[in-house]
Amino acid sequence: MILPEITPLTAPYWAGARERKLRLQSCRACANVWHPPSPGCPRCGSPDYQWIDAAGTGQLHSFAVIQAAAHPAAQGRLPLVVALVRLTEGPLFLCNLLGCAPEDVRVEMPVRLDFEALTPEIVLPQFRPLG
Amino acid sequence: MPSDPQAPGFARRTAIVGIGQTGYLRKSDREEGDLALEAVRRAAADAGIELAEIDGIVRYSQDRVHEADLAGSLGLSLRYHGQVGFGGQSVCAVIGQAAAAIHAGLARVVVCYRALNGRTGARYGRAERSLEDEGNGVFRAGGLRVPSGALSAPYGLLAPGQVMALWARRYAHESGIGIDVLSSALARIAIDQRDYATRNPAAVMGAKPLDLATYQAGRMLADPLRLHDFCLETDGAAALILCDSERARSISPHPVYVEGATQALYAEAMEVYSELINGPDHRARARALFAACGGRTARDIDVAMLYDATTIMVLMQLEGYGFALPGRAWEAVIERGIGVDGVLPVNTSGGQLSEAYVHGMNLVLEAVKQLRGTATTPVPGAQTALVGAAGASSLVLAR
Ligand SMILES: [Zn+2]
Repeated sequence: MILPEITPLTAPYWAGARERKLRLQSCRACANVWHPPSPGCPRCGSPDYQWIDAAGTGQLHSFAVIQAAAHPAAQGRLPLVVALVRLTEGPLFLCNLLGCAPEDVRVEMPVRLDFEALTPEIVLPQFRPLG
Repeated sequence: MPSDPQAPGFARRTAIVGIGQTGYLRKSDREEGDLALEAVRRAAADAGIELAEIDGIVRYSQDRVHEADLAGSLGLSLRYHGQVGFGGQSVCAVIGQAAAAIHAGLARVVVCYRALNGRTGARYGRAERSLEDEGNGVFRAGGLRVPSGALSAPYGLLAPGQVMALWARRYAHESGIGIDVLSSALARIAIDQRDYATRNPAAVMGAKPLDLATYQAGRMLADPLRLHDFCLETDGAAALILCDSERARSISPHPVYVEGATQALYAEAMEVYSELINGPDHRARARALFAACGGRTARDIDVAMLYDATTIMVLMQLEGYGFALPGRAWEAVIERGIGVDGVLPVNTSGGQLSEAYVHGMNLVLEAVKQLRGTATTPVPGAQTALVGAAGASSLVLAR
């Protein structure tokens, strides 16, 4: 099992995921919303941000079907659909596409937020086809 | 719009005068430090200089051969040493920093190298080097933007080539083509580079011609990318030596001048969330670089080495550097290929798909060989060469 390192910066993100929320940073100075987490706004550099809950909607930006694992810990999960979702809020989000056979995945398909618990503490935000 | 990518007066003030490489192997049975020494000694011999004249080193931060160990092993007394962050995407910036150091008077003779046991040591196509083994089958992933990071590894995204599979499908979508058409273009790149390799005795895959049926039979590793879309894993080292142009003319029958070099971080090439490398920023930056190199344009580039961790990188760089219209390189490549008479001769040693994977340093050496007229598949009359690492770093060299 591959688990994320949790740092002070990302602790609110992972705490949100445990509560089945996808949390994104939002800049109080310029209203930019971004992901992955960073200590300052990627647009204006302000360190003054708040965590917001994403709407949980988006469109599939791209996907790959992983058929050869690059580490033994991923071996048992193949084939694996790895997807980039363009969130309604703007940022790209990397996840797996749940509930969809690899041959049915389409770029630009609408998707909605879901969650997958790896352990009681670590919950991964995921996406699945809308509807 | 980017401004001039470099200070006026930089172009043609420094030159590459020596190149050296070890054998490119699947299993070297040697330490990386030993490989580095051999490549540097060969580069010095090629340049016709004494090792003691080397007073500067610039290397990739990812190289595990420390500059102090190299200097100590060669008896060098350094005035300047520097590292450029990351791995292959920085290859051109390593050369650029060496040229800048010489131009600024910080050093007179600078060596750049890349030495790695990329097959038997740390493997860049795999995640063992980046995940921490906590025991009991638990591995910990850190970092937020890299493949195999905390926000990607738990999802099974573990290697740069898998990110490129995401690029490939997005590229097909934005270009309005199906995956079958994309695959035809990628196959042509893999096949043409392998064809170059069959004439290059140093190429790891030199004895194995590649045809379309073999490409199509290749195992799908990260759909839509197949086995032959991926670069090799190689044990080996390559090095080169630069000095100021006046000195270069006095010691070398064929100095290869540094016309210009750029570096960027806005498009860190292996970043999970990066935009495609054929975008408008890339094209503007390439135009600015060529313009700074004596008022050139993409049309003045006779031969290019385009960083090829995967075939899709080559395809998109043809657009990013302005050799094909945005969204149209697939068509040009399917029609004309990347051979000597193709869209542009690209990766003429076989590149990292078929010669060796030395984090791009072998690509720079091949550019030098083309401009010296000693390449194994010479491009007739080649005067100007581009080495491109997906816009993250770029280098223009000329006779
Ligand atoms: Zn802001």
